[in-house]
Amino acid sequence: MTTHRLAAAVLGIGLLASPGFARAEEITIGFTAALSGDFAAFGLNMRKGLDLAVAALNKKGGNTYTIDAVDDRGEAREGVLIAQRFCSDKKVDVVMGYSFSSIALAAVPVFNECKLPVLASAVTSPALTNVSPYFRRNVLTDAVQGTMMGDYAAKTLGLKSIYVLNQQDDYGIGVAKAFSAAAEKDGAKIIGTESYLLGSKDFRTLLTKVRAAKPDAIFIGGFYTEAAKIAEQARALGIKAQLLSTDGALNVELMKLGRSAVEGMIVYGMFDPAVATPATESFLSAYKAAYKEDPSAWAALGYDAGMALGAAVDLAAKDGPVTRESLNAAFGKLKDVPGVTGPTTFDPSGDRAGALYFLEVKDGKFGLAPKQP
Amino acid sequence: MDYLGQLLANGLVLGAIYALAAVAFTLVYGVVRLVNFAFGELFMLGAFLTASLMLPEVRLLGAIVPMPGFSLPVAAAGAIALTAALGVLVDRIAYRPLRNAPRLAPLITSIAVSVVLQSLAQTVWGAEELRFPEFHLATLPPVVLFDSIYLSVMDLVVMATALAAMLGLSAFIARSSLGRAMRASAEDQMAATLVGIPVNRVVAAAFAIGSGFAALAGLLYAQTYGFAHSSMGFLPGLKALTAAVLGGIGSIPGAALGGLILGLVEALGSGYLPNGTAWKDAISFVLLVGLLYLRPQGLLGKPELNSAGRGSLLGGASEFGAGWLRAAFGKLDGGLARAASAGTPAALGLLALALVVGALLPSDYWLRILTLVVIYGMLASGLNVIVGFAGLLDLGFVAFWAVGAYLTSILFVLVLKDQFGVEPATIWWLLYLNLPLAGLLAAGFAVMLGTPTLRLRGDYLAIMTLGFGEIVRVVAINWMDLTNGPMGIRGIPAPNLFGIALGSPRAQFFFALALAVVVVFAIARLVRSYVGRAWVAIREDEEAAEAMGVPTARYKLYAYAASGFVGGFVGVFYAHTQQYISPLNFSLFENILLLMLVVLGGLGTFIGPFVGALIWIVFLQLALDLPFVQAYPETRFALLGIVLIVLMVFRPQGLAASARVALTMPGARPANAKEAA
Repeated sequence: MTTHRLAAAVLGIGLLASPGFARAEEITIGFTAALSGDFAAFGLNMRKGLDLAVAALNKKGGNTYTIDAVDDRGEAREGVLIAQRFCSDKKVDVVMGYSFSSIALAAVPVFNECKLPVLASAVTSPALTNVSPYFRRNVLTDAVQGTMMGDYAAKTLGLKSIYVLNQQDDYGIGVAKAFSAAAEKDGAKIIGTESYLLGSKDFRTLLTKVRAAKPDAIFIGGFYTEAAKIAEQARALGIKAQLLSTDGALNVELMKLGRSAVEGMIVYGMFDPAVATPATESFLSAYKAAYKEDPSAWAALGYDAGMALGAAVDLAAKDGPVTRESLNAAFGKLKDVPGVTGPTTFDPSGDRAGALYFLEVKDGKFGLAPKQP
Repeated sequence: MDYLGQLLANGLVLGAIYALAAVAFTLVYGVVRLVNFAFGELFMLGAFLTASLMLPEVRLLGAIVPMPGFSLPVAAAGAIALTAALGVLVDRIAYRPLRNAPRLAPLITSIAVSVVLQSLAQTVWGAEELRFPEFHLATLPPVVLFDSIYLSVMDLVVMATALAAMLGLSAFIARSSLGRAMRASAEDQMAATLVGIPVNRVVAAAFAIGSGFAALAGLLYAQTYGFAHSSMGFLPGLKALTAAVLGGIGSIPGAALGGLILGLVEALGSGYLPNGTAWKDAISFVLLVGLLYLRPQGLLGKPELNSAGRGSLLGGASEFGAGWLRAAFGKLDGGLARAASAGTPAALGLLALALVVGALLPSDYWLRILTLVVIYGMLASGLNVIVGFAGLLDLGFVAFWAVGAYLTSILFVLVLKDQFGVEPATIWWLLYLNLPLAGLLAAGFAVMLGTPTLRLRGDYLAIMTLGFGEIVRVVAINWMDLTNGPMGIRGIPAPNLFGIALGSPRAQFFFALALAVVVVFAIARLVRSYVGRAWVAIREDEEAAEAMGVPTARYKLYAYAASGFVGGFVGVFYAHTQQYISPLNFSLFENILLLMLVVLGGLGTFIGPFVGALIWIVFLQLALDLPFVQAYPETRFALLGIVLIVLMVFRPQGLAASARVALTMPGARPANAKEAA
């Protein structure tokens, strides 16, 4: 923590209300995610959301925030190195981002050593629950989300036979397992499960198999890039089953890529671009003004992570200078920080409780699905 | 029946696209004997350019740019022409200066070009996929055969276009004067030059046509699957190369046949095998390995192409370079040569330097970086045994590394901790047992993989080993009971010695250094023994070595075993220092990266792999702090690619080439040197 007392004295006096601590904290956020390479879109969206949050926080006055962004390129070997980079850089107070659970898992032991708090926004592996007192995330685990979706598909939608497709990684496998278990418990039949590698383009053969099984619905446990292609190729093969997917598909790019084929697809997510609460409205308009596009779920989570950080810094600053340790304690004490994905409170396990919205693609836009649980 | 019919239809569409891209590889390989990895990226550019020309406006570098909005055929023609021109430009900049350079140099620059193009494409078109615009033929209802086989109108167009392009090219090669010149250059460049054929122009034409075919394949692929993306070319490029090798590289009907077979096998394999889609990539590589084992020259290839890799990997030099640059490299050379001739004292001095740095360096971050440098240096040294000393181009080394890392992780975490509840700290000694154990296992594995490759030479060998590496990776992803699949294995304990935890970055650096001493010492002893001399003899001229009574098969297997041992040995330490491994750690790019480190540093040297690792890893870390890279993260690899191209063009024999172990007789120059003269 760098507290520039002199600068603070000059700049901060008029800005801070609490009299005992007339200093502005300079908070440095170490941000890491895949920002280039195959899977850069998630990380770049997260960063856009976080940038917006940081700009809002800086405009508010008081504490100032800067971002030190490091690209992990989705490569596992970088995980430890980047973690150590942030640890050794005494200016860094908190680490945010992370596109891949596997990279976060590799980094956690390093953060434990230097007691640097992490607030991740896009990693959903259950293996990260309780992994460290310094690790938190504001996204639900895929086990929780998959179960909710499974209940929804079987109970609310009343689907009887479902074919499960999932991308072959920790995210896809986790979400598909939880989905299948919940749907079967509620009386639906999983008539087949197939996995595909992330980055696949050709699903015709896979879908030929699915077509032969004649399911009511197809659940796609994966990202929007593949979900859009599966939808399009399924329709081209004459498959008319209901399509279901995950928060990985909750991205405006889904409609750009899949166009009419994704109409009627139901996905879930923690962010609903259609529900205009006062908080989401200002975020939506600010995001559109800044980037000339609609925000994705990852951008929303990045934004909320930034807002949660702002709240935690304010909380920690009440009791003296903000340190890594005090910031970490403050994260644990946060209660219902308002955000565009709903209020944020962290469990002691590092996870966050939250609600899911079930959204349907209608006329090229996500809207609340007609049936809600 | 309708199931099979649909699979066959799917396979045909895919096969047509593979075949087109395979033509690009085969055409250029036939003329200049270069596997141009950058075709995957030209494939991608063909797709992006076509999509951009078809749209009314596109977002380039974040700004909206108006575009002409052509229809597909016009846009495609424009994109093919532009890509062909780019292909010629790439040849001019990155390959032509290296025509007489060591054989691996242009291979490395082709990888660097592909890294640069991919990064630039991401900078220009963004990280998201670009939707491929609708074309009116694509909106027509699909053709339904026998009530159940669906083919879109565009699928038929794709197949017809592929067929027409192939026939057109065959006619062109057979009839036109440029085609004849191409065939002549493919037979013998020297003779072609002597009879007055402008070989450089012919090569440029081959690049132009090849790039055009890659672009055509790319735009048809993008049309079929509805999108363009900066990384879309990598896998299809690899598949097209596989198809070209299957059919017999250098043969155009072979490329067509190979592409078709590959498309059909993928469709049928993933259709009929349980969870086949996830295994699809392994299926095509198993096919490749099996076929090359039975028929090393591919289906329609000429047997003599299998000997294209004849001669040393090291001979030749660049005729390129400004005076001051030459002088600078010359100074470096002199220093290195002196240090190398000092032998043991120099090595000890270097070790002492490393120890001092390790003891005094205050930053944990830099200690981690240096640890990674030492690890990659060791791995590259292992690869260097087989590539640099025995002269066998191996692209499957990563498999041995994975074997070591997985062995220790599975034993420590999945078996002892999860099954028997043994705390890792109580069995710290197992790590030290695992080091040689994993080495032996990986060595055995290497011999197993090496045996079927004995009949192959040069680039065929490279492709086959690449196939092995990919198979191992796909198995690691899909065999979840053994490896925990993509979830990886976490909680691998940090190294520990008699109960003292060695988890701190400084301790790990010293640990890595100690292992490096063992590895380098062992390799140095081996290389200076009769085994090493046999390796160098094979590297310099396999036929001559054979004729002099060197049992080449046996010594090649020794090289595989030694290289595998190092891979497994280092893999164990790697797992314990990362504490978490997943198949992501062992991607094909890691393999290519290791090869680049060796070539960059200098093949057949002891210090080269470490020099390469130092440059690569430190550059990437330092580049992170450039403000420009902070704003455009994807340019970091573009910069790296440019640095690589420059280093290769000016210094194709590697930075530390003069430290090469002199195991050849003075005065006896490798065959290529004569050609260069």
